Amino acid sequence: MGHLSIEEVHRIAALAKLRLSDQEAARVHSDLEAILKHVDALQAVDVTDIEPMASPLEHVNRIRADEPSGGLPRTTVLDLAPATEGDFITVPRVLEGDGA
Amino acid sequence: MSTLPESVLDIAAAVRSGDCTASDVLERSLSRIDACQSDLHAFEDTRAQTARTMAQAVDASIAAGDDPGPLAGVPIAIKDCIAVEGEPLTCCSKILEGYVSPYDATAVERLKAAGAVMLGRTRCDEFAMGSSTEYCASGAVANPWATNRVPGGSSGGSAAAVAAGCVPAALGTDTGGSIRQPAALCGITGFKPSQGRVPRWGQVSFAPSMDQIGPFTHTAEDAAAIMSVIAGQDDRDTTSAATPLDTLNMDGDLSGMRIGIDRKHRDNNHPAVNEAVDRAAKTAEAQGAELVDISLQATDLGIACYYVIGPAEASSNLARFDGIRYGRRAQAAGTLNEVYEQSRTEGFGPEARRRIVLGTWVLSAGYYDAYYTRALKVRRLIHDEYAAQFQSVDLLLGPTTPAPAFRMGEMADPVSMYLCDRYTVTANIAGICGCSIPFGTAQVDGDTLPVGVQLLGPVLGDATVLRAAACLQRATDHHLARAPGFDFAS
Repeated sequence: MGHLSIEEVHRIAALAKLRLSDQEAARVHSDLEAILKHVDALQAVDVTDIEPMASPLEHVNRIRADEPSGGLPRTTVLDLAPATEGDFITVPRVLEGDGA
Repeated sequence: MSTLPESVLDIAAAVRSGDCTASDVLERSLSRIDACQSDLHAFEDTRAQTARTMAQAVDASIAAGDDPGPLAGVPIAIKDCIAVEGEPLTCCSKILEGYVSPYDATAVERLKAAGAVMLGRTRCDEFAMGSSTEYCASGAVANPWATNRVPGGSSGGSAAAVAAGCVPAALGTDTGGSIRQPAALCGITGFKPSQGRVPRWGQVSFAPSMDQIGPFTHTAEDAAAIMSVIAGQDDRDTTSAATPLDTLNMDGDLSGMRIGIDRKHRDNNHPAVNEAVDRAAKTAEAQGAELVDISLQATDLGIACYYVIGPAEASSNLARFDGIRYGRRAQAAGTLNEVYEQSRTEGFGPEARRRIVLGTWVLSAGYYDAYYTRALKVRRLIHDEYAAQFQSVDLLLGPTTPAPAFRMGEMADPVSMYLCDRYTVTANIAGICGCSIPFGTAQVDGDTLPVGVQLLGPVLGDATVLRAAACLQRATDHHLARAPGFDFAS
C-alpha cells in the first residue's frame, strides 16, 4: 500500500509554496514512496516511554539581556531586496481581486 | 625560501618567521586553482582580489613586527553555504542568485582574525543536500583521483580543492556526512566536530540540530590547528557549546585507549573498505590501543531516522527563501502567492524540492506523530546507544563509506544515494564528533581510488578523536598519497 497519493504530493507542494508539473509530481511521488518504504523501519521500533529528542544538545534556554543590539544598516538590507521603493521592500498586491 | 611549504602548520610557521610571504603562498594557490579548475570545477569563484588584500595585510603586519595570528597566510577555501562579508553566497542554488553576504560567519571571522586568507568559494550540492556534488546549480565537481567520478558531497568542492593541492585547508559543513564522506572519497582528512562546537552563525541552515562546520586538510594535526581557531561559544548561536575545546595535544601513542569496532559494519562494503578498517585497527593496536568488539543496534536505523528529521528541518528552514527580501524573485509573477510559488519553484533544484515536499509531508497534520515524533524518539535511542558505548570505549573505528567514489550519474535513484551515508548520519543524529582519514586505496575498473576510515568520539570528545587520528597518521603514510594528476608538490 502506498503512503500518499499524487494529489497529496500536489497539495503538500502547494503548502510549501512549490508548484510541481504533473511529470515532476509523479517523479517526486515515486521517489517519496521509495524513501518512505525505507523509513517504515521506524514503525517497527518499540518507542514506548521514550521522550522525543529534537536536538542532541538539549540545552537549557540561554537568555540575553533585553537590550537593543546592532543590526544590519538599512541600506545594506534594501540593497539585497529584489524590489524596493524608498525605504520599503515592495511586493505585488496582497489582496487578490479587482478594486480591493 | 625556494620551495613553499604545503601544510597548514608549515605555512603558518614559515609566514610567521618570515621565511616566505603570505602573498607568495596565495599566488601559488591561485595558479594551482587556474590549472585545476577546467578539470575539477571545485570553485564557484576564487575571490582573488579580496584574498590578495588579506595576504598583503598579513605581510604588512609581519613587516611591522606584529603578530598576524596562528594561521598567518594560510589560504582557506570556504564552502558556498558559509558567509564571507562582501562576497557572493548562493548555496549553489539559483534562488540565492546575486546575493552578497553582508557579514562574516563566526568561523570565517575567527579565521580572518587568526591571519588566514579566505580564498575561493567552493561548490557544493544545493543547500548542502546531496552526497555527490552533482546537485549544484552551476555544474558538478569532479574527483581529482578520477575526473569521471564524484568527489562525494555535499562539500565536494572543498574536498576536491584540498585533495588537488589548490589550498592546504577548506571549510565544509556536515549535516549527515558532508565533510567525512567527501574527505574519504578524495583521500584527505575531514573532521565533523561535536554538535555545538563551531558556532553556526553565518552558516546557511539546512537542519540546525545536525549542521556543523568543520575543516578539510591533509592531516589531523592541520585539522586541529583549524579547530583550535574556529571552535568556541558565540552568543549569536545560542546552540553553541559552552565547554571549551580541550587543549589539542597531538602527541603520544594510543596506550590505554579502548577502541570499539562493530563487525556488522563490514557487510556489503567494497572489500578495500574492510581492508582499510583492518589496517587502521592493526595500526591502532600497534600504537597501544585495545580493540573491543561491540554491536550497535539502534544505529542501523540511522538513514530511516535521518530522512525524516533532515527534510523536516530543511522544509522549515528553507521557507525563508521566498523571493521577497533577498535572492531571486520570479519576474512573471502577478500576485504575492505567485511570487512565492514561482520564485521557489524556479529557484530550488530537484533534490531541494524533493526534500521540501518530504519534510512538509512528515510535519503535516496526521503524519507528524507517526513520522516526525517517532523519528525523534528513535533519535534518542541512537543517542543513548552511543552514550552507553562511550562508557566502555573511548572511540569507535569503522568505515566512512561503504565504497570508494562512484561514477557521475551512477546513483540515479535517491535511496541508493542516501544509503551511501549510512555510516556517517548517526554522528549527526547523536551530536557526536567524527573524523575520516584516508587509509589506503582501492582498484575499481582501472581507477586507483582512496578509501577512508572513520573515528567517532563522544559528544565534546573532539580532542581525543583528533589526537587518535594524528597518531594513526604518524604511524603510516596513507595521508601522504596524492591524486596522480594533481601532485603539484612532487
